Amino acid sequence: MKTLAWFEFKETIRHRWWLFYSISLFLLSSLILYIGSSESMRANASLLNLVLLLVPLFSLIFGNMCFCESLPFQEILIALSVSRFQIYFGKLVGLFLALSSAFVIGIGFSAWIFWSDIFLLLLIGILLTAIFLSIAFFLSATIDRKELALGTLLIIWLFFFLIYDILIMQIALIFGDYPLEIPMFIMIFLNPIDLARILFTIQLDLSAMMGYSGALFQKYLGGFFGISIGVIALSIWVILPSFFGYIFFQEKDF
Amino acid sequence: MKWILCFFSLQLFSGNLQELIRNAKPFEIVNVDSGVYREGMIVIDKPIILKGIGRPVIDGSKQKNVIKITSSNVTIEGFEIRASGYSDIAEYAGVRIENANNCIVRNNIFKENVYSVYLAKAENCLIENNDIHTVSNREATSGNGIHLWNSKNTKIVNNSIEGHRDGIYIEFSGDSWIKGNSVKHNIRYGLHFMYSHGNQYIENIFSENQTGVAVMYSKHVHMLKNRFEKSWGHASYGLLLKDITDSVISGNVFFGNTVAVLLDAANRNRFYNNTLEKNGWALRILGNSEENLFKRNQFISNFFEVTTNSEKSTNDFKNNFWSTYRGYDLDKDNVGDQPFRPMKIFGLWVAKFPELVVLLGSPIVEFLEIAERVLPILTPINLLDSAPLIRRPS
Repeated sequence: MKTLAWFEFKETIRHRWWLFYSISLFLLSSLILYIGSSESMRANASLLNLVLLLVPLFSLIFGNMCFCESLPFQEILIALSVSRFQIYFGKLVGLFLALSSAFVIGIGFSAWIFWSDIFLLLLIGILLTAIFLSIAFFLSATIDRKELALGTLLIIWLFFFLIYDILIMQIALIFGDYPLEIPMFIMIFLNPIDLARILFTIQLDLSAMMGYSGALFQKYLGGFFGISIGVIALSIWVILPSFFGYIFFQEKDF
Repeated sequence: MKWILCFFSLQLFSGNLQELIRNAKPFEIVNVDSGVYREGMIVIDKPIILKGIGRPVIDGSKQKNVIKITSSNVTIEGFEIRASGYSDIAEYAGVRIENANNCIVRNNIFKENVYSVYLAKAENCLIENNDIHTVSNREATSGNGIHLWNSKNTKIVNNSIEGHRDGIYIEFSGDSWIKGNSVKHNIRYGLHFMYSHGNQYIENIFSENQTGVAVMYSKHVHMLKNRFEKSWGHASYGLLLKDITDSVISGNVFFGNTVAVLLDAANRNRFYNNTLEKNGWALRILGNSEENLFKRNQFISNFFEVTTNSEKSTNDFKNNFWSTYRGYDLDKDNVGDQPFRPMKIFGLWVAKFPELVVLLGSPIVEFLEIAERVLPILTPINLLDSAPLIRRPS
């Protein structure tokens, strides 16, 4: 599995899309930090939105692309009696390392130039890469037709990025007369993008603006304790899809 | 041996401050040497000037008032006054001035008092250059820094007040002049006044008070060039106006508060030249507030500019600068050609359903704003600035 992951890693960082991803992250984040150098809070918020937009989208598409492109190669590996577990997770780990290194290099380099503190942002970005890669692998292993898988992935991205928030808004507008803190709290955990954003913004002490209902968020998502809980929840988001994807991959016919 | 002698002499010495006052003739200057006077409940019942040389300490040992002034024309200067008593039924202070006029409290340090300076039915008093601080834990067991009850024409100038319940509390007291004070870290309000008409607040700094500044049930108040900052919490306001009418709020800076200004039943007030920067909400106007005028204010980088819960607004906005304004100015007169609607639909919803703040920074909010720009019908009510400024007024 180690060999496979290493092979996948080397293969990916030679990919032109890898370079494109890394450079575009670098350029966009430098632009944000350069323009927002006077207003660090807004610059951070913009940087966060960049990460929340680009990282999941690219991880989904690139994960799907790599998985589907290497299907013939996987077939050969299976014929060589390499276990499916090793093939699947070797590929996932290798891709994850490659993409997160692109992310860390892209964002980290511009942060190094502009002296910005981005530890939490890096953490969130790496976790999001892992989450959306494993979602991509899950769907690619489940859905046989490549186009269909890609379409589904785009819909899933749109769902997490936008439609889910519309749902939250709808729920608040319809059930606004009831106490909503706990349902909201649970709903946030069911969307990794939202959870990542809240983890980041709660460090800016935005919970004060939620009135008394913000106390719950501050209590469980603020400070080091909150970051730990968030990281655990996001890790579950990594483990579950990749695990179910593996189950489907075991049954997959080539 | 030397130490014991020293101790004894202090003890003997400290007994006679009240004696000193008793022996003084009216209008005499009484100089008090430095030392620790463990002697509370001092009563000053004749017009004297009590002057501390080398900052003597008067320690009330947590028994009742440290100094009580019942005569007019008394001056207290240059002391350190500490440890007034706590009681559930009476309000004991470091200096309590009662039924007396023209008193002066100047250049003192107040420490660990429940109430520090307490004026009841006192007129024309001056409280100047005092350093007032304590540590309060709970609202119920703590008192106010400077407390005015039924006292007209008081001047409160250049004091520094920290850690009380309310920094300055004023009730039934008109025509006060409050200038240049620095009020910080108080556990309830920095400034709190009720039923006090015609007061002036100028160039004060209210910073990091737990629940901001609250002014209630008063008319003709002037608040000029103050700075309200960092009242950030679950129920924090920079300035809370409750039943305030015909007042002027001008040249103030509101920075980093959860809600910069809340208007609750505040009518016919004028807001000029204020700067509201980096607050959660810049203005929250409840429906019962009418005919307020907002002119030449600057709204910069607030999460939400204005929210109100009324269908029709009679509040007037004109010539304000809004950092989120996206209009154009064809004739270059520094006035935007399109009106600005400071109230956004998301801001309205968040005011109603605070849980929605979890969506702050979500792309959905941007989408809503774009939708509002394309379809102005989405914007809830006709609250608008008809002539917004393009550049920040200087």
